[in-house]
Amino acid sequence: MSKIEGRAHDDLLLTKGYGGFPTLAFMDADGEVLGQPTDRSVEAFAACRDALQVIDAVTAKAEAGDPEAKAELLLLEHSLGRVNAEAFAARAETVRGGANQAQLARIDQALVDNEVWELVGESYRGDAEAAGASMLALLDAGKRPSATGKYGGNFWGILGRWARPKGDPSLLRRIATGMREDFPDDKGMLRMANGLEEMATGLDNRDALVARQEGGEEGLEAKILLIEVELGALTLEELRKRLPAARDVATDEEKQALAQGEADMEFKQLVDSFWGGGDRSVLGKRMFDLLSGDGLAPSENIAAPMWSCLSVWASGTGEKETMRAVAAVLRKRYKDNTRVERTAKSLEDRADKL
Amino acid sequence: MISPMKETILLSLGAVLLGAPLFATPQGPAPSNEQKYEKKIRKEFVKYGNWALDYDAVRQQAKEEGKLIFVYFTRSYSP
Repeated sequence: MSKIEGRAHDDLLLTKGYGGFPTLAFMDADGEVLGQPTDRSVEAFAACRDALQVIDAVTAKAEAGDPEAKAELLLLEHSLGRVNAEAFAARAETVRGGANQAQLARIDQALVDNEVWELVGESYRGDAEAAGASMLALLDAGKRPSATGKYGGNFWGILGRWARPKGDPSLLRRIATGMREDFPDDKGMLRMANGLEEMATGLDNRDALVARQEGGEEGLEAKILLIEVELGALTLEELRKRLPAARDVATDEEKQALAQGEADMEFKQLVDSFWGGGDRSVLGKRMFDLLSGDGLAPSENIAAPMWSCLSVWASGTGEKETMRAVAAVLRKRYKDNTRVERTAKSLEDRADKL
Repeated sequence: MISPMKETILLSLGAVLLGAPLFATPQGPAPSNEQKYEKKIRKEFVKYGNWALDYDAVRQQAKEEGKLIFVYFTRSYSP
């Protein structure tokens, strides 16, 4: 779909019933869709191609009453994306009796994969908490998705993100181990596993401090809180509730770090809400007010996404005064920063054109 | 019906469109859809995979050579 006027078949994607990008599919010479790879991997491409090469013969056998062919046909149709989860589950029950052991294992795996895919959708549709809890329940029941990007990749990624704020070192290590077992050569997955293990180590350190605190040792609250801030293991509200007690026992350096942590968490919350569907006019204004005030600016890893929010918000107001004010406050807060200068300059250019 | 074809023709359809992500900083006039399309199909993967870009021609080829078609719908900002 190029949206170039007059280009032939520009609506082909829609006429085939699809809408997302990228979309991959096998077609015959008449343009009939025969199947779709389950994900964008070479393995999924090959599985789809191989299924297409044998499915006619298997269909003929199944129609002749061969029970194993009936099971195989269902599995082939699943690998081609031709059968939805509900229909697969229903048909699986009818072919189970005639399936061989290997086919039974593949049917059970496909059922788990379908369940995981449903939870992936639930997570991205907004109920990440419930989806994460259900994924952990699957793991507890000994069910693991196939080690493919679509199923295992999404499963471990969502589960890892869900587990981080739980603050449970053993859970984090369990998930990191699963990631390593299922995706031993996937750099992104290994990076996530490392991150979870580092967080588990940090939480162990926190727990050791908490044990000392519970044993009567005083003056540890700031150290405990700083670990939790660094790990992202608490909410902004919890941080603010515990800040007064921590400040009472903090060194000057710890006080500074706590203040920076609070600023970072507040900006992060605003940035996340900005891109996550919140009211941009309110959130953008809040970021601008915070940055214009006397409080701390966010650290570098939060600053860059915050600049983008401010730029989008200011441009969206259509007010040249606002665009220029944002450019000015960014320059004031982030002196000699090339990216900030580029953002500020383009805001001013846009304001000049109004 | 599916013929027992071992080979596949690669067909890439699409490219372009409103590619600028929301957080992009305004930097002069946005490229046209034609420019985005041309940029996309100049990418290395198009040559590497010998992708075809004409749907009618590739269906004709598939018919004549007894092959399947592998279709890749994409856009300027999409993998």
